[in-house]
Amino acid sequence: MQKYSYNDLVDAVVIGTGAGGAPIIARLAEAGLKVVALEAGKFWSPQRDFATDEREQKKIYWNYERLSAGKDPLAFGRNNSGIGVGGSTLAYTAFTPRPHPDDFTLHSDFGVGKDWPIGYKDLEAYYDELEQFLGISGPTPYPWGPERNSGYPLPPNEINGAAQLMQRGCRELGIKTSPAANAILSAPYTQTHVGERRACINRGFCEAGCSTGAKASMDVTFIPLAIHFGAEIRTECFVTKLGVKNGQINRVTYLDNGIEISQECRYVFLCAGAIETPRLLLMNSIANSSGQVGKNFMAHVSLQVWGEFEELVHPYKGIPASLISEDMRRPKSANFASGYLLQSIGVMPITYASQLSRATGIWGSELRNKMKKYNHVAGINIHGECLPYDHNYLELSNEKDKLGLPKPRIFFSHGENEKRMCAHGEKSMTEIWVRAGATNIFKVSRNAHLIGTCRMGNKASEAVVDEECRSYDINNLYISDNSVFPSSLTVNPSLTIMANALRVADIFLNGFRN
Amino acid sequence: MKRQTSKYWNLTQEILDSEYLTTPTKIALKARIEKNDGLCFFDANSYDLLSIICDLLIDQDSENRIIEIAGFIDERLQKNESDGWRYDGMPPDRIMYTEGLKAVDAASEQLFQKKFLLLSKQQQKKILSDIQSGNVDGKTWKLINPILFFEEILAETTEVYFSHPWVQTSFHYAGMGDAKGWAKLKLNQEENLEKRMQ
Repeated sequence: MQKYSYNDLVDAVVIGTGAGGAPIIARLAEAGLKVVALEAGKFWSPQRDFATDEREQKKIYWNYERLSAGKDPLAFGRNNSGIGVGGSTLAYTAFTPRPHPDDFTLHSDFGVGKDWPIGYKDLEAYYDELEQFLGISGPTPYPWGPERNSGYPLPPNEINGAAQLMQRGCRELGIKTSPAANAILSAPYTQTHVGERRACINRGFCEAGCSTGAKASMDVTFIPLAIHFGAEIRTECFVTKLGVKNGQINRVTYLDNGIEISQECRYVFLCAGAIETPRLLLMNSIANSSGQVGKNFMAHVSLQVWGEFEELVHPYKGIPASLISEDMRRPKSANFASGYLLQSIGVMPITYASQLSRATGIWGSELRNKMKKYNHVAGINIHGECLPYDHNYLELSNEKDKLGLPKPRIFFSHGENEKRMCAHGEKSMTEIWVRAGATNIFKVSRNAHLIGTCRMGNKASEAVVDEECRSYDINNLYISDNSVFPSSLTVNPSLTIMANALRVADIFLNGFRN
Repeated sequence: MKRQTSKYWNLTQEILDSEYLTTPTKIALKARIEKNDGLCFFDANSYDLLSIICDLLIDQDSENRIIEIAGFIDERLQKNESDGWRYDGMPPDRIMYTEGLKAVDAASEQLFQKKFLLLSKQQQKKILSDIQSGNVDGKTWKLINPILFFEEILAETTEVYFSHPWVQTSFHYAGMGDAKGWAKLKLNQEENLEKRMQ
């Protein structure tokens, strides 16, 4: 790997190596720029380091403590936050549906939330590129959405028991289902400059770290590509300060083994996710003339319904989310704006036990007996739009974490739209599960992903970054991660985070060359 | 402390030694079985109290205790490890546990004029139910929200208990044996290892 000196003036420092940062590191390095990436966690070697055990795999989740507030406080850590080269893609389920064009016009369509300053057309070529590069497995033609320029390079992954049950229930209700698009290889696949990756062997532990490389996390895709082109990845480096001179960032300071190191740079790409990105800006009191840093926090409605079945399910095997329906994206019967996807879900045992206990409160012999049915359990969840509200935001608390930095406090409460969507979704899912043969049905209230805290927009008074994801206040600062989304989209965010990252990199390079 | 072993000891050992597991999985699961008992963070009284509470939460026989749940919690608190979040308004985990355990004893003295460890099992379950529903004296529980305290201690007990290989074998979980992956993904299909677990 290339090694730059701290005293070198590098072209770009990228903070974070997840879905927002890794594509930028690769793109900039390929264009010949001197790029240093700073990652708070380790560079794992999955085959050697990753165990098929949820407790052992705690090491891939962000465990610096966050304070969770509001009426529907979120769980963090393994619920939504990764650490290490690859960021949260180390733990993502790699469920990668494309948004539809109307995902970007929420306000125009429903009069709530915000429109994006860009549209599907601005990202389409990047969805094409990503699906080919990462090796996304999916059905061609895709049953929903506009026609595409290219089909999926690989056929869909094999569906598992939970997916069969969702098929059965949906069929009876006339709901269309399909194998889902997942960034998980259904066959061996070769990527230029990266090498060959193996096909998925159905471990079902995607959310606890893929040990085979079949899941397209950044550490086995864009990061090796970036290294090939000469980028330097520095690990276990925690960024604390952004030094500003003459209205521009001239250096990034980080802790490496407790020592403060500063790297001089010409541009900064802040890609640390919707909690750490605003946190860093608030700690340094920069880039916030709009007052929107930390505001507009969103988390997808992700209510789950579980049931027990006569059949053996063994829910830990196969792609956790192998079946999808997009029929509820804009349901006609809705009394709410936007809508949701339906997904079948498998689950690892400790995650199930923990969610079960928190959601139902059962304990003692009742809990023990319930867990005996684990091999007969299957779930289904909705994945729905969350609106931005004034009452959902991030702030710095007065409590210091083990690095001496202020812990973030995140306020989250469902608004009326989310409550109505949950009611609609619970009804749909319960109907589907009853038809599929479920008994002892129970629900788990949940929200997924962390979104919106440094949003894109056309007006400097209302947004943190412009449509090129450049800060309105500091013209050599770019933000690229889930924090820039002005609306949540109905779909899972990772594919769009990566597509936007590539778009931002290309626009930047165009300007950089001229 | 005398260690009991599970009746699933043999089958578990067989599986953990087999070629069904990858090396990192073997290392993690064997270390869990071999973990020494706690007492780095809690004092002896608090440790005993926590142990009995955990046993009740998961219906483990305290007389013939097999999984030392409190030992795992003790280690985590000693190392001050976090899972990345806590409810705002709840104190940090170490304080939650130490103050929470004191409050359990206080609730026990209030209702039954005896400390928790001296109560009958029925009485102990009643105290825990009251804490879970928040049906407790506000003054004793001023620092700790009893409903959230119960939720946290139940969640941690659950996670510790069900991550133990002996417990996993007891509910026929074979997921750790995925070195070669899984091929039988459909309803009612079983892999060889899963059949062996029945």
